[in-house]
Amino acid sequence: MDKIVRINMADLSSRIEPVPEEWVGLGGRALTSTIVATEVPPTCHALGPSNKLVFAPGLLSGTAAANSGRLSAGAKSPLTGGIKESNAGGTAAKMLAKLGIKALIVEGVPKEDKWYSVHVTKNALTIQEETETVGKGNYCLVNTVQARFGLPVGVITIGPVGEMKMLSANISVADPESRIRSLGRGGLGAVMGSKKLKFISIDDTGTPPVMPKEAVKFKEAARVFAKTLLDHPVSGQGLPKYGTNVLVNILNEAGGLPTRNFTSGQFAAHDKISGETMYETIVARGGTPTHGCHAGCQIQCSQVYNDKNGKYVTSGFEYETIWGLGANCCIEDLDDIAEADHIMDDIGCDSIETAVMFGVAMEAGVLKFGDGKEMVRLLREEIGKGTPLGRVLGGGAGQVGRIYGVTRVPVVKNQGIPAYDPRAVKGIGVTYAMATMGADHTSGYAIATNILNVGGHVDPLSKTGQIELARNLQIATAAIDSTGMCLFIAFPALDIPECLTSLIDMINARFGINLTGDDVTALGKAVLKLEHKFNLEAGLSKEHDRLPEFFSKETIAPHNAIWDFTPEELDTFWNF
Amino acid sequence: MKVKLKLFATLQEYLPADSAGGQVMLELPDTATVPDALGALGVPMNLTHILFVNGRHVLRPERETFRLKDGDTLSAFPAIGGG
Repeated sequence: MDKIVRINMADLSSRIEPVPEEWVGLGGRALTSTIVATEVPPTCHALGPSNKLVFAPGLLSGTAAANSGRLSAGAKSPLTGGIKESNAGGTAAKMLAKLGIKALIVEGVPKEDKWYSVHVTKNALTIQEETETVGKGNYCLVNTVQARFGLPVGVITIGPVGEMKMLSANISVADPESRIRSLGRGGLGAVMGSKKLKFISIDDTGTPPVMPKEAVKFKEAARVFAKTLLDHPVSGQGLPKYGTNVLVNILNEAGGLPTRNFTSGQFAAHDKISGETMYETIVARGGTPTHGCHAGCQIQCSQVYNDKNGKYVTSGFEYETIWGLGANCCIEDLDDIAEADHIMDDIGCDSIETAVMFGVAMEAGVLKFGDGKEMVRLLREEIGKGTPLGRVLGGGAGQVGRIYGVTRVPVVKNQGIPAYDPRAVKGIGVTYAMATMGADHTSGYAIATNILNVGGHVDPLSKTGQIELARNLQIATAAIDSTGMCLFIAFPALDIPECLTSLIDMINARFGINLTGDDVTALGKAVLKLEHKFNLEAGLSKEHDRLPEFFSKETIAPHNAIWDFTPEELDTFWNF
Repeated sequence: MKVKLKLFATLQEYLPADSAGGQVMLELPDTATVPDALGALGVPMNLTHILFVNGRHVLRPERETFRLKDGDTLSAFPAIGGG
């Protein structure tokens, strides 16, 4: 990957630059965060002309390495006010890598109130006014754009929620079957909307596969790496069969399944929305329980969920979405949740932020707990159409809490807390508090060690060892997020030493370099520190590295757990 | 004594055909351990990766000799993950 592409929406121009020396060893999150931290004023308005939206494939994207097809997007987040990186699978990362594009940077805002699209090929980049797909949902858009080019081009897109610059807006990419995967968190879709960029299409026709500098070494390392993914029971067996939603029952057993807007740790109807029930439902309806989000995915944790008539409803139907609309909103009908998931993918809003928001909205009385039909209506008729109520709800959990005077609002840095109660699973609580991204379980997935006995075990109900655990996981995750790898390679990486060594071997063979394990750790630390520095300069102080007050005031059943870290204890997270 | 045994994911194939909700109530001797309870349904210990008694983890190596009490709930999972 030998070039940086800049698109200036202010004058509708583009230019190609060589990769600066200091960016050569970076990819994915390391690169997006470095570019944002270097070029975006931390105090700028996230929806104004000074923010930049950066797309970057990972270091290994485009190669034959298993699970290397994640695309990172970065910018200042309009939701958190801090730096943001979000990533997803799909086809775009591989195509950008094959085109030699290390980063694609979208700058400025257009002078005219028009929408635009960008088309990238081997020989040209064109920016043109877009009218046909404006106001359309992501499913329709992907079909329209791929029909326009007569090819399964890569597509990076926003739905109506992004066009309307709501803070829950995500960015979506087409997957290999022209369905939707989403770079969900932090309102990056609103940043794309602020730049009046409806979609980017990518045609990699005529480009060869990405060739490692040392092909033999790469091939051998890739073989070892792929074997570790198959050998580990989580990535090789559990995830392929049940997907991520297998977590409903185990979090329920552990008393850490946030229920009814974080007022209990167990959901009486957990079995109706569990991974086991979902698997049986998918099989009975002729769906696909095992499915990948990008070419080269070996774990295949995705699935295709059909309705009662065997018709496609959604794919990539994740635990966090099902928890959020299920247990957290007390909705027991998996079909209502699947329909909502489809709508959220289509209108382009983050399913975690939206689900956490609905929990707060239900507490506020906007709709009743358990009312799946009204939830679907609000998504389709209010948020999707941008009515005044829809714009309130589309602003996320924090906004709805402020507008309706709710005090139990589960957010950190204004971003909704995902599917694990921090009182009953304290390691993930430290991650929520300290993550540079706001409340984000993927920043340092302590569930692995607190609940799943992967990478050892740290008692979820005790404070002991949690800060060190969350710190180490966040450092490792920042590095993994830079490779283009799916984060689920962390399961084998935590238990099988050859997983990480072969990953480093692949990077070395790809670029002809000699990284060590220590270098990778140093990269993770450097990424976290530059993100933290950006946040401090943006006005997010250590007082923002805290959980909401109610977690320290209200115990949660069944363990009567409480959040009991002191601010001083939390601040030691940054001692590295 | 009575112990509730809950099996999840691939371990559910060990449940009796007439069980419901992924669980069974076992009648066990008062000295019964975790392996005794799982053994009652023929579940091999080496297929279990995560065990809870009353919602608290029971870990290796203690789980091999962990004594159950009347009214306990034992929950067993294979290696699973998500996120």
